[in-house]
Amino acid sequence: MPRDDELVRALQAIDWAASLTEPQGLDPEELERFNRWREDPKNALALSDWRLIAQAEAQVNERLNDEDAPGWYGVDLELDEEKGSRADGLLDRIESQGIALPPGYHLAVIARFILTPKAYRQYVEPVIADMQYEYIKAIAKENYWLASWITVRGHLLVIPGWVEALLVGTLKRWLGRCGL
Amino acid sequence: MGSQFATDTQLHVLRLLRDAPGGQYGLQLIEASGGKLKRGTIYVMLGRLEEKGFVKSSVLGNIGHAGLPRPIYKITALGERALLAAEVMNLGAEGI
Repeated sequence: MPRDDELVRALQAIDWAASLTEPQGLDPEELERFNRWREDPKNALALSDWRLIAQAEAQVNERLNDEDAPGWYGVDLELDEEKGSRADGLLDRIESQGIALPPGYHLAVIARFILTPKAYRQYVEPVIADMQYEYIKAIAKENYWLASWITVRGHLLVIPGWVEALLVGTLKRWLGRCGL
Repeated sequence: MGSQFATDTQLHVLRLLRDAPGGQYGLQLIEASGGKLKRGTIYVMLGRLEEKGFVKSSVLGNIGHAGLPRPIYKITALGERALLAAEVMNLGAEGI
């Protein structure tokens, strides 16, 4: 039985993998089909599924180190036929790999736990999103030193956001209550 | 509630956003500012402007890359009025 939610998450994993390996690697027909799937509102719900994205990254990293590994993401874009089994197969293969988390994963988890949803969305999430965006670009250019630096810098750049959200925001609320 | 007045740097951000009707990402604002805006504080500033209602952020459905979606910032009508008022006040002060 096809499991669409898993298929969607697999698609997102494919997206991550494609971005890391060959940003221009998909032929236009595949890319169009892929984008149609991704633009489906149902698929959009899966965009935040970090775990599979991260696992896909681990698989891609392994593939980068093994020239003889099969080109899995191109094959699995054949979605219209036997999509359930293909998705399951892909997930099985992804889950057989270790978990490597995308940059900022733990930071996002901690920030979402400590900050209000609004503060997280305003001050922390954009910094992590930029970090991941630049990280992917650096990895695509095989500039791993730059990717590492972007990760370190990204974690430091959220500090002003934490200060604003935790200290300044609290102080403003307190002063507001005191009528100052 | 915070002050409705914007600082010089905030006005600079509003000007950059007014010149880009389609909106700007945070990194684009930093590039366009020519060094006036810093990576460490851009989102704090944008957050404050959003609190005042001068800018609005949104996330595109199809983000075009993996990872978290990056918010795109646009100036609001209130932000445009605030910017205009600030510019008129500056012109007035220079003319005195």
